[in-house]
Amino acid sequence: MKDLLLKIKDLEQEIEVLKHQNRHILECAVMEKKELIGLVRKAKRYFDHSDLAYMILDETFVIIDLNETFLQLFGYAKEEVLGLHVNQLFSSFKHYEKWHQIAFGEAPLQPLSALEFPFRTKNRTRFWAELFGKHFVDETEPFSVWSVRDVSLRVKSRKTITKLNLKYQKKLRDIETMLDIIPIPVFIKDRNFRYIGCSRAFCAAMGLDKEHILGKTSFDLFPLEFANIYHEKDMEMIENSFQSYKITTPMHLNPENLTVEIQKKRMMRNGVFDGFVGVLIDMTETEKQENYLQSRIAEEVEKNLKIQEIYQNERVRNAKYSAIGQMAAGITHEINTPLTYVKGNFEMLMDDIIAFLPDSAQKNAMLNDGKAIQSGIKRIERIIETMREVSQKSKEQKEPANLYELLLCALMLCYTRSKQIVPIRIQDTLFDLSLCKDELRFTCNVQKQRIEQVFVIIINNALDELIKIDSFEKRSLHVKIFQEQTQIVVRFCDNAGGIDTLILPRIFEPFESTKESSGIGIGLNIAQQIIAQHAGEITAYNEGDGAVFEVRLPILEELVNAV
Amino acid sequence: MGKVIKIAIIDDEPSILEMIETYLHRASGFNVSTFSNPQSAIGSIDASYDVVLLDMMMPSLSGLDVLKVLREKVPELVIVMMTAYSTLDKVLKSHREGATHYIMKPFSSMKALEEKILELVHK
Repeated sequence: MKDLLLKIKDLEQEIEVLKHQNRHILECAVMEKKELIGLVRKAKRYFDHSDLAYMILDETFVIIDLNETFLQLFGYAKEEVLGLHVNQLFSSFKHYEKWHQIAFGEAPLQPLSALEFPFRTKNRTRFWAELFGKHFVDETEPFSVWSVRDVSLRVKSRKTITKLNLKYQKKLRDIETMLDIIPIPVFIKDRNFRYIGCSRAFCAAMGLDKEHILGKTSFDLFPLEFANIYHEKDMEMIENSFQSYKITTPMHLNPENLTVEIQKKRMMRNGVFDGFVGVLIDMTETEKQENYLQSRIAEEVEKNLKIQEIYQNERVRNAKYSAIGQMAAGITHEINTPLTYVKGNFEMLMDDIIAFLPDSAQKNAMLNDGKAIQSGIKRIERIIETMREVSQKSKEQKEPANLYELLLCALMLCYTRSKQIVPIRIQDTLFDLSLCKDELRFTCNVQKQRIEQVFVIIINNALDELIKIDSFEKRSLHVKIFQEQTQIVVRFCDNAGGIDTLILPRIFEPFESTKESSGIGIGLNIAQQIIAQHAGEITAYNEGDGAVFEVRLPILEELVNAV
Repeated sequence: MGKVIKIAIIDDEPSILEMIETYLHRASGFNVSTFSNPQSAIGSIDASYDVVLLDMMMPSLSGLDVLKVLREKVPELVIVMMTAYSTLDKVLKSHREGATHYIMKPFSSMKALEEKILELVHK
């Protein structure tokens, strides 16, 4: 019994312990439960207040849970969304299908990130969202958790940027087209002095394709010494808005060096240097022309100096002649007066001797002596007459003169030479010294000696050419004088082959002579000046197998009226 | 040929005046007056004269000036200009001022001068 009692006591004690233990376990369980509830609440709070919207889908893509952020984002109440099929959230069924394909296609259990799809809120507002998703399998039931983030702003920005890019690309293409149309070499360099654009003409000048130029610097394209110069000049563009300089440079693959003028205009972006546009102007031709012009000018100046010298001499000679002429005029008048009465009186004396003296040896002797005296007087008269002519011709004043007479005088002056070279025909008659000066009359107001000089120059020119033809018989020189309206025309036609067409336009310019031997090549120029001083014209042209020189002088109208 | 030809000679050179006067008077019986001063010639010469021989170059009054006055005074007068120094424009000027003829000094011969005068008067 005692044992039994002891046993009972033990049992009781044991029960007590067990009870105590049970209580403790219970307490623990309660505590645990409390903690778990707290945890769940906490998790729920975190879930609800995440900055991301979450939704949980079951295996049929029906929404089984979501958080507060999700409701805010989509504008639904919780009970409206729970049980909703997720395709209702996409802006179109197509987008849902696409999402479905990605999310549950090839590797359905892999986490999915950064999927962008357009969604729709409860009030039909469209927005872009970025989705992250992960699949879970909980006790046999598979489900997936998705975070949804509104990325409308990002997508919109990206689209705008793409659009802008397209726009700029189009602009760039336009600029390139424009560049190519420009027929001169143009290039664009960026702030790092790399070629970012160029015209076809630039490629041609460089001898390179566009793809070999774009993106390159001067150092890639030119020998170092030139690249250094170009780089230095490019650097200056940072400070200067415009630049222009000349350089003779080798162009890539181009055998000849080119002289170019390079002009650059700086480009700025937001106040910062952003490269420049450059133009190459080929100065090689210009340079050549400039050099040619310079040498021509020097030539002309030298010519003019020579001409001036010649005219200066001419003036001095003219002044001399004119002084001699005046003197001769005076002498002529002074001698002619006494000569008149010497001659007249002597004639009367001779008449008296014949009439009143009886025939005798003395009378005959007197008559013989008288005749000798008369022939002497005649001779003096002729000399004085010649002096008068000379003095008149040397006069610098114009006076009425018969051009036909002057023409004959000129032909006479040339006769010594011409008779050995060519038979000259005037008005279709063979010229010789017996032709009468008064036979024809074409009066102009001229300086006789000058006009005579013009004729002599033209005749001598013709003779110089005609002499090159083999035989005397084959050569011809025809001279015609005639009136045409208010002008007297004197025309010289030869058959010496004509004037070189290269020289013809400048035949009246000084030193254009084809002659190497005969003088200074200024004759026709003098002729032209003389004719110009007489308000006339001198022209040269080729006709048939020879050259024609034509002098036109205004007819003296006064005379026409007077006679 | 009944009428005696009345002629005036105007020249500043007395030897020439005397020579022409002698020749024309003696050879042809002309009625000759001579003037070495052009002014007095202008005063004296009138319509009674048939011919005037007039020198171009005289110191006081030029032949052309005398010609102008005489031509105005006696329009039908035969006026022959004489010159020792001739130019074409002088000839033209004389013609313009109304000279009948123009002879060069020295004369080719006195006889030729006389014949010319007769020809001009009887034209």
